[in-house]
Parts: sequence; structure tokens; C-alpha cells
Amino acid sequence: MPERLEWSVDAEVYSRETVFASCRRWSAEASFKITKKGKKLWRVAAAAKPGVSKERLAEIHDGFEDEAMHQELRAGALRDAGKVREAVILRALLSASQDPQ
Amino acid sequence: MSRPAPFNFRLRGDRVLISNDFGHFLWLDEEAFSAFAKGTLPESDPRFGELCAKGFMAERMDLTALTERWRARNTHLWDASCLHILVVTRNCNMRCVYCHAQAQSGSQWDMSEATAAKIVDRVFETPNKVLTIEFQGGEPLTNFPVVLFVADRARRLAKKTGKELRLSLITNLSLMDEEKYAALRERNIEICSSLDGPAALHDANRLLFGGSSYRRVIRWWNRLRQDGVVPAALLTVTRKTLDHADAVVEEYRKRGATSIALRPLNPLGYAKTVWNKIGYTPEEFLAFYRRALDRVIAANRRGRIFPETTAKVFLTKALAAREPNHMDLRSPCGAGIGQIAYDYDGEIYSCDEGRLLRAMGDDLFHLGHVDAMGPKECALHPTIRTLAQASSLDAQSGCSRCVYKPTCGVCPLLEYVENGDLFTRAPDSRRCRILMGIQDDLFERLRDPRQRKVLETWVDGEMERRGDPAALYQRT
Repeated sequence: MPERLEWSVDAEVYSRETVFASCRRWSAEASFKITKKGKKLWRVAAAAKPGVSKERLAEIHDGFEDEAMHQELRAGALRDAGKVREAVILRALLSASQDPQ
Repeated sequence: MSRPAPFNFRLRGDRVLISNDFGHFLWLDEEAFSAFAKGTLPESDPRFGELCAKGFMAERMDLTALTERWRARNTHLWDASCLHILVVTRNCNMRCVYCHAQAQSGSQWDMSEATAAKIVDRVFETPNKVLTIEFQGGEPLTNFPVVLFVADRARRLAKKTGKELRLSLITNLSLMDEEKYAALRERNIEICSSLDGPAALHDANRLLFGGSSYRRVIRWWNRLRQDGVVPAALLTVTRKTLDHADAVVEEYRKRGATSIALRPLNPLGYAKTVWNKIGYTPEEFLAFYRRALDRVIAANRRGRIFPETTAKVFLTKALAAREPNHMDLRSPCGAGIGQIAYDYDGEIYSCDEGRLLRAMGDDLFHLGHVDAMGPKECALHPTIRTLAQASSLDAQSGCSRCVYKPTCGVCPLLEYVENGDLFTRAPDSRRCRILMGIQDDLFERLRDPRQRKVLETWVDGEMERRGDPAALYQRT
């Protein structure tokens, strides 16, 4: 049986996308199942993939909320910068891909 | 009273540093900051005028002047890859303890003339008027005929296309001889080497079988100075360097260097495998940096202008509102849109570090082969689009609200190596802690009129304005 661990994450703070993004960070080491528990919590169930120790799974658990916070802030930054950011990136890519003068 | 326009801030002791996207910075005390943020700062306040002039007050913005300033600070957005790095060989005769390039042995790692010709032709497909070709390795002097072949072909093409061309050779100088030296000088190829400090320190870091690498560097360094050329040099800080800040700065000053680059070690190549022996924490590096910068500033007070190059980049952005186009201190970074790296076999990477990562077994930053793609295809490559996104400071959680957003930059590759994610983990990432520490230190120093007087002379272009001949050899 693979090592398993379960914990909860505040659903009022972290969106479904952020919790998914956090899971993706460790998807090479563990399988995740996410379920909503009431209105206020996400329930995260993690099962270690072959070769991943119990200690490592505990480390993933410890880092999970930090990662969720990072992903939430990043999503916020992407939302806030919006069209300006897209325009800047597009400008840089267009200039670099012009034909020679 | 006036509403504040968008701004970022950082609390430092009892004062607050604020900045905005136009690249303006201002120190406020806590009381003034609180009133400014609430929109209750009275017009009679002595700082009100400066806040308006710098675009911090929403209803008092001179949008024409501020837009011009924004454009001047972002000239790289209207430019293409100006830096083309040619790894003419991976072969190297030295074994430096921190080698980022994972040097190899043998001529099988040499670039052929046929590959070199294709690369040079591709380089001239770049729309830029000004191009730089940088010869890297391994040790480029082990494949010297190809260096000359590239230089001659590139000069011909530059003449034909009317582009301005700069050639630069990164070498350990250990294989330099009179014949090679004359050939380089004849073709106006700039020479850049490494000098890690006094002999004992340099030789401990940069191992040369059968001799002192320091002696060879200094021999050719002196020769260049005799010929009226000030050689450019790079310093890589290892754990051994940390206790010798004064000696390192003194060595550079004594040898007549016109600048010093206090570069932290990156966990790439061999450096990653021996990190526990030669690596250090960001805080240890910052303690070294501050001590070295004290010494550098003291040396400036005694005579000619002698900047530290990382500080120079930040100061140029903060004080002169110009973009020095330092590839990993801009937003977005230069990967694929400011620089392109070509390996010995014609494989193309987003940057030189991307090439090093491939040598370490990870091809995430590999774009394709010179047979199939040029600069245009590189810029449109999905990897480059992703790197532009990952290095756009407005898209980074820790950076978009950082007071140093106008001056800083992220390196997705180093973030990826450190955290397994292209998007930065600022402010916890190693690079962020170092760059934030350096900028904290610099902005504190700018509050001291005596230090500010020195630091203002380091701003890019300032040396030319003052007619300092060493300006010709300043590098950022």
C-alpha cells in the first residue's frame, strides 16, 4: 500500500485552480484527490507514488499551503496586470521577430 | 490633497521607500507616507511638489513627460536580440572549481567552419542595427581558427548590411600567444577574462595544470594596458572569496581595472555538484558585497571612477531612467528576444545558461538547430513566449508589488534550477534575496550625500559625459 496523507485547505482563501496548481507541483511524486468539504474547506488526499517515502510525503504536506499561497498571489498578479502585461510581452516578441531591415 | 497613483513601497526602519512604473523613487517618513497613501497629504507639505512631479499623485500627472520616461526605460521592448553567444568549443584546458559551462576535453567538442558560417548568416537575420557576437566556451582559444573565421565573415556581412558589429572574446588567457594576440587586435576583438582576486585566491578557484593561471592572466592584462586597452574582467565569488573583500577590490584597483563585477556563484554546472564546498547563503554574499562596496566607494573617493557593475545597472535605471539592457535585469528577460546562444554543434538555446542546463541533461531551454531556425523563429518559439511570461515582473507574485520592480529582473532559468518552476518564488528565492539585499544597500547609500556623489558618477553614460577615457571599456 502506498503511503497516504490527508489534510484540509481553506476554501475561502484558496480557489480550486490554486489548489490544483499546488498539486501539480508535486504530481511526479504523489497522486492527489481533491474534494470539497462543506463550503469552507478543500480536502486534499495524497498518495505517494512508488519510491516516495513517508517523510517526503510529510514534506509535501508541509509545503502545500505555502505553494497554494504562492499560486494564489501569482493568479492575483496576473489578473491585476492584465492587458498591460500582455501588451508589453507582445511588444517584446514582435520586435524580436521582425524581418531584417 | 490628491489621491495616490499606483505605487509600490518598502518599509526600511522608520522610513518608507516608494516607487512607480515610471521608475521614480522617493523616501518618505512614516507620517508623510501614511498621509500620502490615504490621500490626505496637504499641498503645503514640502514633499507634495516632488510627489506630483514624479507621477505619484493621480490627479497631478504630467502624462506626456511620464510616458516619455516610461518609453526611455523600456527601449528593449522595441529591440531584438543584440547579443549572440557562440560556443566555438566546449573543450577547455582548465578545470575551474565552479565551472558553469561543464567544460570537456578533446577536439570533438569544437565547432566546425561550416556550422560557424551558418550561425553567422543567421545572426545577421536579426533586425537590430547593432549586433554583438560573443565567443564563449570551453576555452575559445582552443578553436582559434574558427574564432577568426567567424570574425572575418561577420565583419564582411556587417559591411554589406550596414550594421554595427562588436566582437568580444571570453577567455582564460592561458593559451594566449603573440600571434593570437596580434590577430585579435587586428580584428578589433575585445578581450574579457576572469580575475578572481589575488594570486592565491585566483589559482585556488581557477585550476591550470602545470602552472599559475593568475600569472598568465596578469601577463596579458599588463600587455593590454601597455597597448592602451583596459581589459574587461569578471569576478566569481566562491566561499573562499567571502573573507577577502578588501584584497579582491585592492587587486582590481592595483591592476588598473576600470570596474569590478562582484558576481555571486550560481548553482549550475560543476558549481552545483560542489555547492556544499564552495557555495554560501545569500546573507553571507551580501555581507561580502557590502564590505567590498565600502572599499570600492573609498577607492572612488581617492581618484578615478571605478564602479561595481551590478550597482551600476541598478543606478542607471534608478537615477538616469535608461535601460542598460542587462539581459537578466530587465522585464521581460533577454532569453531569445535579447540574446541567443549557439552551441558548438549548431543547437540553439534561449541563453547561455540554457545551453549549460542541456549539458546537465535538461533540454527545457533548447529551441532547435541553426539549420532550421533563425532569430525570428527563436522569438516566436513557445518556450520563449513562456520565458517572456515568466520573466515579466508584472506577472510575478512577489515582484509585481515590490518597490524594486522598476530596477530589477528575474531569471526563469535560475528559478527553475532552484525551485523546479520558471515562475519566481520571490521573495524567498536565493536570487531575489541577493538582489533585494543589494538594492536595499544601494538605496540606503543614496540617502548619504557623500556616497550619493560617488554613486551618481557610475550611471551609464555619465563617464562619457565627463570625458573619462575608461568609459569606452565599461561593461555592464
